[in-house]
Amino acid sequence: MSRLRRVSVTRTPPARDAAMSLGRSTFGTFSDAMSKLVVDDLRPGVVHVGDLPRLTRTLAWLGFILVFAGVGMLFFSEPLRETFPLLPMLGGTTGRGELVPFVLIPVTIFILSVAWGFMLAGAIRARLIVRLAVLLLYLVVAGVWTAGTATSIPVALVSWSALLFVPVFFFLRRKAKAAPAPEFGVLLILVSLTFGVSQIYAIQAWRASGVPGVLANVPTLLYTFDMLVIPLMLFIGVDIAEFVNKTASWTSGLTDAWAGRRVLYAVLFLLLGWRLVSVVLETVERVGKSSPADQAAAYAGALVIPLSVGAVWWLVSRHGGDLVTVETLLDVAKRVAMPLIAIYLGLQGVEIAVILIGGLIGLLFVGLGFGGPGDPGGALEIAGQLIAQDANWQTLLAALAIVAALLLARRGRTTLALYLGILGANDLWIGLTEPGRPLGYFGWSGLEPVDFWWVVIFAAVAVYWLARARLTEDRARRLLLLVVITLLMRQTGFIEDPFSPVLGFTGVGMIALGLIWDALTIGFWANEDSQGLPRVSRIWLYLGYILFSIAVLNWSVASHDILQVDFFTGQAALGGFGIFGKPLIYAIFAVTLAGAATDVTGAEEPDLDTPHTAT
Amino acid sequence: MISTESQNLAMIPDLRSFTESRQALSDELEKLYGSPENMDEAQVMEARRRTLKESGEASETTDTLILEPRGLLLLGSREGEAGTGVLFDRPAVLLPADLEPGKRWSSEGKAGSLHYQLDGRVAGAGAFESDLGTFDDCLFVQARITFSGSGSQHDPVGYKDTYCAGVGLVESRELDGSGDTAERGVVVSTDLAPAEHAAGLPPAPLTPREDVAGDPASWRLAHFGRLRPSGEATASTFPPTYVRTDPPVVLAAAEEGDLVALDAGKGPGRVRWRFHPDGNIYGPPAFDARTGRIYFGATDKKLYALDARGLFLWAFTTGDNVASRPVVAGDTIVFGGENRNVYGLDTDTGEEHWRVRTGGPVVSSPAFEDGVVVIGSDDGAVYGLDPSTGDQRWQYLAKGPVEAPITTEGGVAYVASRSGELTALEARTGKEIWTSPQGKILRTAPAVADREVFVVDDDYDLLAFDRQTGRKRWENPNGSYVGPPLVVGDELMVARDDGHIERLDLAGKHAEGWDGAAAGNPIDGDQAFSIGPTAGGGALWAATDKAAVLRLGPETGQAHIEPKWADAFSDLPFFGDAPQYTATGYRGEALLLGAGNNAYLLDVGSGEARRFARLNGASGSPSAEPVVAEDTLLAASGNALYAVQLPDGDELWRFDGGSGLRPPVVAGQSVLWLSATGDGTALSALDLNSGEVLWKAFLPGAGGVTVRGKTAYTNPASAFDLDTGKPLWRAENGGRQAKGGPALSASGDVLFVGSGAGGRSGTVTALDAGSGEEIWRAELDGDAVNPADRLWTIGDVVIAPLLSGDVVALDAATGEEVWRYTPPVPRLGNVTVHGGDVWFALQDGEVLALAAESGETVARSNDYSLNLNGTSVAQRPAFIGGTLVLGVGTYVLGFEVSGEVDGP
Repeated sequence: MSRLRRVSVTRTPPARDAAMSLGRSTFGTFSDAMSKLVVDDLRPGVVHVGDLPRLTRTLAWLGFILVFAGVGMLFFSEPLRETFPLLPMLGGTTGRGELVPFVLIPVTIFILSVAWGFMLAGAIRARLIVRLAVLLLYLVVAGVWTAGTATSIPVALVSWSALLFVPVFFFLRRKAKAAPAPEFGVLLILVSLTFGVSQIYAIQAWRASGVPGVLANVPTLLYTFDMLVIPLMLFIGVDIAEFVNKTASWTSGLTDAWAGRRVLYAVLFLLLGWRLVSVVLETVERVGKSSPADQAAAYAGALVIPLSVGAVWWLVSRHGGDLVTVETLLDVAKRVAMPLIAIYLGLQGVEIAVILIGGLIGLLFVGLGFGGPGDPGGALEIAGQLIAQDANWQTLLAALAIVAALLLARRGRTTLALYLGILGANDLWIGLTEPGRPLGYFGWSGLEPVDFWWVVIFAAVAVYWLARARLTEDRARRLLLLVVITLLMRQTGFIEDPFSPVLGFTGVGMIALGLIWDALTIGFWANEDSQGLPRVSRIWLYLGYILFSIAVLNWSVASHDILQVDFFTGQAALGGFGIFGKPLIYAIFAVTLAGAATDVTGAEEPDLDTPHTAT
Repeated sequence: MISTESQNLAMIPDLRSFTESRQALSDELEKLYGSPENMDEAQVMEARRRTLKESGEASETTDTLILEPRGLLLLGSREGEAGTGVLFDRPAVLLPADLEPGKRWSSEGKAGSLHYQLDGRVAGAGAFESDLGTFDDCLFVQARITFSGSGSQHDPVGYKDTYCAGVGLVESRELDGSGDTAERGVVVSTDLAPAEHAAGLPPAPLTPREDVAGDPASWRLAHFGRLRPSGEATASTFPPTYVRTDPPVVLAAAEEGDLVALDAGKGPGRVRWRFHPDGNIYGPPAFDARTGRIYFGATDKKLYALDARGLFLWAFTTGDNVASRPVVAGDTIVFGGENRNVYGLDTDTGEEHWRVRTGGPVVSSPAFEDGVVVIGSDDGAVYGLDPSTGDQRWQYLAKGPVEAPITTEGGVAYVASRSGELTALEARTGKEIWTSPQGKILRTAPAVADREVFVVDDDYDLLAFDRQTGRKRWENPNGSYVGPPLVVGDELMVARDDGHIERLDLAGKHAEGWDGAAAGNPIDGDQAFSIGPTAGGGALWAATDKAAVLRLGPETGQAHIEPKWADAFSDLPFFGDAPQYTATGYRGEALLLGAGNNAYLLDVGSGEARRFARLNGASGSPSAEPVVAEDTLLAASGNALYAVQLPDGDELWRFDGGSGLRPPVVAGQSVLWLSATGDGTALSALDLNSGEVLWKAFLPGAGGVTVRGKTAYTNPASAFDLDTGKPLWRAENGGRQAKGGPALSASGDVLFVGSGAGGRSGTVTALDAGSGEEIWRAELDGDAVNPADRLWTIGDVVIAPLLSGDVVALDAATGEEVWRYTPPVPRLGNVTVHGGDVWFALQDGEVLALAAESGETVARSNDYSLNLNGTSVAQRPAFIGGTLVLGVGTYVLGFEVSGEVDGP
């Protein structure tokens, strides 16, 4: 029997065929998107706790349950406010106050106690620097809390003893065999004694004095961790850049998958045309609402961004060096982002430390009966001066980044040099054009002006290549990618507030999603094991950190603190995107355009002096 | 007769029971419990009860109650804001804890100077029908209080009160002697009020509307009143609201505070009434001039309606904070809650007409324009609602939450949103007229002028837009403005976070503004604003971050004395060694003695102090104000008088002659020292250089001593030869006790002394200084000269500081009363007559000057809203080097005395 006869051929009606094909294609597209944009990240991210000892595993599970319960609580802030009396905090938001449901205070203190228990238990087995950092932070934060609340001798004795026993416990356990669960248990008891006992007394003192000191202390306690949450939020900015690139690649890739060469050109020019018209109309609208002179200055200022990207590209690439690709760029950016964020926030860290130490000195003064020293050791004045220097500090860092980029380029580390150079140039120019700065006249607000120039540049390049009949398929594909990226860069709304129509309050869903996503994907870090940071320590540290974040977020959401919620749901990430993400995108622009310019299928010869590029 | 008793019960935290209650209450609490730590089971409450009779007459009573295991006890009761109170020692048991039908109880003790006997019983139980509704489970309590003493028997007062489960007191009847109802009081509380209770009240009388007038260049920014005590101050929570009732008041509140009505009429800045919601107030109140009602929301989730006199009318409970200022639209009051709802209530009864659900918390204050109520929400939408039905006429989607109050003008609603957009909408249709994106967060209301709209953004910058097109006209990126700005004529007033109020023309050009520091006080520290000013009653009003209200406007006539510095006793060099009594001058510096017998010198220009000496071996604390004679300091402490060499502080001599209550008097080389010894009151004349006793005489009292020429005059009225101590004359006093120090007329011919026959039945007597013969005697009805103070003469009047706190001026020739000043709050310490004026402080920390001839107030300082009842001893203002130095509470303050005051 012929093999052909064994094949059963059934004919389907053409319409059904087309529908099935569309369905398959749509499903394929969706599953491809899920696979590339979600599963690829999720698969290596899940934390493995199955092989841990039973008690440790149980604790880890309890920790994760508390995390998910805390996340769930975000959705119940409104019923909590309705059910419990609202306590106004001193110094709340003008015009509406900052009110928390009464029940949130003990809940927050409980979550913070557990968080500290995990953090300390994680640190006790970590490398010395982590150990000291966590211990110091705990001593300062818990010290400020205790000094502010435990004013009766018996309570102070218990609180301070429990507080001071923590470093003693660290010392005693320094050479002992790791016992994660018992260590956590002891530390949790000590932390609970410090926070819990003084809390009880604080509430008594509140009743006696009528001054809700405890309320003044809890936000202080929480917003200290604000500082800890910010780096993560800024880092998300780099993630956004990566996500934008990934989405743009995937979207522009669809044209390849779904259509032929002619459609590619049509899509490119339709998109470019639409984008051109959009940015021109936006510009006209801006001119209409402001003045031509103001907008001319703003657009002139914004033009410096693409020009500086070109200049940096030229400066770093003329030394040759390593091969710059989008992948290497993404890799380098993710690798250096966290250290850069740490440096970027360094001054603010010093400010917080100065204020905390000043606060401790002040409390010591009061405790020793010297009366209120006003501004102990001039801490507030010093902090104030530091805060005033924040903008200068960031400008200095930007300038240093450019210098570092030039030096790195000379050493052949072109990828890092390109990222750092563009980051420095971008930040430097934005810093100098801020209102009140030397070039403030050229400052701009909103995304439109810079977007305008990129779209104009891409359109000009497309038209130039088209006119000279050099718009090859590869160049068209690359340009399409860039135009899609500009489009996606304008879509920041989904970062800020994707669920507000459904959930009714700004960004709660996004926060919850972010936390759950973090909890699910932290495995890439927590599943690792090293001598300096053993696996259990990583899990404990992560649980502590995420519980801090949850306590802060719950407080912000329940108190209707729009500023904080906005900050967590979008501004911090968008800030990170602006400072650390956009330079990465601009670098991708430069690499992609340069790659297109050296397209071998085009008429131009590749410039042998420039490094090899590929996308 | 039916009256309405508006209950307003506030818990007083234990500590404040001691620090804030009046002295007698604090003392009684200390006697009962010892210290706050022992009050775990006792809760002190203050019940402010405002009674409105059918006649429209309102009265206020403040009862201090203790809730403890024994039951509900009455500790004290006070009529009016500053009225004298009655203290119940032991507290009267109003209700025992174990109430049940048939239960009887009684308690007795002292009530002021009388004896009280309270007998109560639970007369029955059952259902009760009242104006508040029908209640199933009530107890009927009858009580009778009988007062006796002072040689008379008073008619007993009977009460028949009805308490119902879940509600508390619902009706209180006052019974006459025969047991019939003399007055029926319907008790309304913030939780329960009859719907018709508020409906029939007559509207409060209004004062005419008064616009801000005059050239702002001549205006002055001055302290007006306080909401919280200095040093314990928290930020004001909303802009002051001028309410033109008669008398007019300015409404304001601070964190952890009440709604406070400050008198803007004849008693400027004084608290007229307070209302205590169970939370903070973040939204400004709305005043409905048609009905004379005040509406405001609080964090206790309620919207309150008050009568213009502060009487509670009704409350409506929502599910969350009410921070929006309500707006009255016809018979409906519209406001938003943080539970996402916009409500429309009946203005008379508080009955809910409608509610509209939005997508986010509502804190934006609505506006009523063209028949539409316009209100924003955190969901980013602006709603145009029909005020009578709540029907949505239109909706406009802003790009961010709308927290700012909506401003309307000429049919246009101006909306500022957190997205940074300022939008003009047609109020009737919601149609967008223009939108101006700024990119900065906008949270405060825009201010509208004829051609511009102004707004302050969250970066503290001031922006101006064209009112027709929305195009930005100018920007002032000062970085310190706080909104909202205020348009006054053709100028713009904007508060700054550094405590200034700036003045600009509408083109953004600056004119000279005002520095709030001049209106502050050193205890509070630097001034700061978080909210912009408002206008009303011919002036602007601003609330500071230290719970003070400032007035900006034309001068009001009284000179203002400015505090220059404040030295806290808790700071170095005093460090807990509280300076005592009055400062004295030494070489241009102020010299003060501390409780620990240390001597301090203070630079009166800067307030900088240093310890320079100590009274060695002194036991106890200084007991009289120090005196400096050239380079010798005379200081009484314990049972001795010390002479100390200045400036090195070496002790010259010490005289152990008993405890001295009056300052020593130096006459040439003699020191006259009146002291209490075991043998009685001794007048000792000592040698200034050696402390040797020159002579000694015994007196039947210890009023004081004064010297003229070679004669020493004392109270009890006597005269002694200064050199020998030989008595020259002694006036018969009819068994009356000497009260306070004596004074001589300017010519020295007449001696004035105060005396009393016990209690407060005192007199001032004028005697011939040469013979002791009585010239006239003035009776001080029910009062007496303060024994710790002294009489003063100036011009044709004798100034007598009285025990009650009043200050009276008597005609020196006839003894007739020329004027009398009754302080609004108790006086602090003694008076000083200086430069033609009478100077003294009040227990709220305020310093005043009265013209000696007329009694008119000629100067006043800021008040501090302190409660200094425990620190009122014999301190008095001292004028040293152009500075008024005074111990106030736990501070020594230095005041700049302006040239306008008939100067020191």
